[in-house]
Amino acid sequence: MKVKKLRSFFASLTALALATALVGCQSNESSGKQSGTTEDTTEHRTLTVEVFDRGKPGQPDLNNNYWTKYINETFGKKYNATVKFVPVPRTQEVDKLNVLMAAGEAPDIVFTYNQGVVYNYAQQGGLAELDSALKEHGSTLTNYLGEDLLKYGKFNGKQYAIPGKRTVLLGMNTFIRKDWLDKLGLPVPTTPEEFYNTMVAFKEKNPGNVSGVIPYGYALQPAYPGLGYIPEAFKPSDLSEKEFATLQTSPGYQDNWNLPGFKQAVQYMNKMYNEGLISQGFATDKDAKQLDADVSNGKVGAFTTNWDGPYRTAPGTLTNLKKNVPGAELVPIDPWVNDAGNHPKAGYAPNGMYILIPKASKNVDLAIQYLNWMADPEVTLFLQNGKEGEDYNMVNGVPVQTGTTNSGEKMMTVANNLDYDILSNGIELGDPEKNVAAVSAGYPGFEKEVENALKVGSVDYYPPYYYSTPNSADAKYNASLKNLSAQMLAKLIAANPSEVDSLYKTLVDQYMAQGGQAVYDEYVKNYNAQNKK
Amino acid sequence: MSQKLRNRVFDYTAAFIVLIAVFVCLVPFLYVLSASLSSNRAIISQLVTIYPIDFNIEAYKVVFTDAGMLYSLFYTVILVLVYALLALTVTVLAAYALSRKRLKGRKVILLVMVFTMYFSGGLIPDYMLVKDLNLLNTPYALVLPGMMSVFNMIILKSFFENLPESLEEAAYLDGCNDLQVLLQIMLPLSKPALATIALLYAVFRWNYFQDALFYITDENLYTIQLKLYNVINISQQMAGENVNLNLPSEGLKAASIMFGTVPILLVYPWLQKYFVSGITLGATKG
Repeated sequence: MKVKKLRSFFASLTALALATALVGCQSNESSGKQSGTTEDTTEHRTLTVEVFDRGKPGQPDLNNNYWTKYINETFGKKYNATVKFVPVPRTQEVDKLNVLMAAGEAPDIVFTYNQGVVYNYAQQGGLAELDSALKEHGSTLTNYLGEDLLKYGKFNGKQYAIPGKRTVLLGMNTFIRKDWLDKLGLPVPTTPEEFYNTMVAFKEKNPGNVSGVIPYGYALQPAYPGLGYIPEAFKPSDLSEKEFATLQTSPGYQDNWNLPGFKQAVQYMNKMYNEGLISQGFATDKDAKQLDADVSNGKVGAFTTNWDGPYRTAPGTLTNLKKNVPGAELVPIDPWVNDAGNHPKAGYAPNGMYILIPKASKNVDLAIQYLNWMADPEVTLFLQNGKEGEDYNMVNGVPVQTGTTNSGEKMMTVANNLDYDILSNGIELGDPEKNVAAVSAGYPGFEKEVENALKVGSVDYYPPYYYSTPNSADAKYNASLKNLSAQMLAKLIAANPSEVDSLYKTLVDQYMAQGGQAVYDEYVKNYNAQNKK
Repeated sequence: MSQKLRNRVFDYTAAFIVLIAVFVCLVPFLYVLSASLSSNRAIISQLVTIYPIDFNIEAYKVVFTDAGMLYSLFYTVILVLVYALLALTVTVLAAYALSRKRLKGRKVILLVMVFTMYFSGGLIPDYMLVKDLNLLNTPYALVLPGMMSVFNMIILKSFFENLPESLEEAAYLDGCNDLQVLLQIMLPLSKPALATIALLYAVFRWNYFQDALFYITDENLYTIQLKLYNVINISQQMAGENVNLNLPSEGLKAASIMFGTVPILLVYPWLQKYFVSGITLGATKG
């Protein structure tokens, strides 16, 4: 009996193994069929293109949906090619790209936001040089991007990457509870001093009548250990270009320890902390979840975040706040004024992601033709919005979505389909004003507010200094210096006010010794090399 | 204080401590469960603890109508079953042979196997091997490379070694050959160990996603963990994208986690009695 039982056990085991082997084969075959497609002409080619997999619940097959069909039916027919998409998980894109590149398995078109990664590939000879292909097949593309953008893809004077175009460049905004101001009869603060006084008033008078009022909500996130635009208010307006280029090398959500005025900004925060005006647990709120909760629960008077932070669907702070505290109102303000009366705001560089073609690719020309095709405004409009009258309607020259692209085969895993329309980062209608209107349409329920936030956050915007050579010391030390910066900032903000001055010096000396000096020296070297005539 | 009373005090104290331990283990699970049934507002505002607020099942509706999720779950179940059975077979064969003293050179073979526990080829060589074997984007890439865990094999080997040798001798006297001894004598006596090893393999395959992440780009072959990983991690807004991304809500994340966790939890009660005795049996009998 036992033998029989065992036999049947092993028989079923083998059967199962066989069955799955067959299942495996089948799925292979079917995907093979999808990619191989019909025509057998000798010239027919397959172009493989990376696509971000955001793992959105309900998302369609990333290699077979409304958008890929459109791409294959228009571009594919015209150039006798099949475009096949290779999904790469968004959160693991760099790791996965490294593996694909190292193994020579990368698709014909890949991309990343990480400049250091691109530079490494270029240095190691992993990327195809694109100058000649661009000249031959990329006229629309070259016109669309222009030299101002293309230069971001040049390394050692050669075009190794096609930079996408970023249409929303502003970085952050400071928001304040308008209903609290109104209740206390206070004006919108327009200078750092007024802002400070407002925070004191919030603390003393507690206009929201909440327990544990937090006048200025702040979370020190190790990934973004910065002070928002506060340092802009203390930075001298007459900084030379060289000082700007070599001392303000980190974005606003990080720290520039040697930038004139940065210490005063730290002291400003330190003073507020010691008077109980900012979140007391700021140093441990590493993912800003506590801050989100405090804002949602109406305990926070003001805070700095992404320019559109409260209006975003996730975490949906403003929606939550309005539900938790009826009548609550958040408005973007701009109190960080400098000695010249300006409100400078460092934002994003105008380039989006770096689009690359690996050296191993046999389809460099076809890849450039693909990007060139994508730069056509008609194609961009379709890829970002769908079909007019079906997926969107034109209202005052701005496409307004009808909601068909939220689910099913047409679902866009990210607003405006940036994962397929890789050339543009953000809505692109070819006109900045229309873009503003269209961007705000992406925040249902908050269109007016977003339009205003765009306006406030764009005042005196400036991009980071453009370097033609990336800083290799920065690539090496960036992660550890960022970590160190977060620790330094935590210590300095929580320090005794009389000790900040000396502590600042000690800590920055440490910072410089642990790589900061090497990074700075290389920026100086690169700046001088770039500007010698 | 009488002996009885003292015993009772001890019992209650022990029960109380165990209860706290159970509670500590359960709270995270309860939190995710109640988050999956709460509104986004309640979760972000940190109002949810161990019971849902603004009770709704919207998140589950999305998860259960997501064909990709269901498919992925089904596919992963099959993958786990096949993997566990195949891995168990290979492990049994290796462990039994290596547990017999009459196998010549078994120390060398064992040494070679143990060597792999300390040193491995590394990520990129692994990837290239799998690629050169044409296993990329096939389910085999998730089955074959991890077919035998040396650790599990050693557990099983020491278990076999501890079975009385006389049983085996008696079987040979009765005319059994090696395979019959294994199948008819050794295996029926080793059920607890086999169940343990099978469960270890199954749980490993269920939870491990790193290999799927690298070897699989075809969405049809995504394991449930890889899907989950994407859903959960994508909710951090990336610095690269500067506009409203319509990210999945916290509730949806929680519902997805429940969806990916509950199936493997259901396996435990069935195998639990083997699981506990299996691990101790292999370890302590000398």
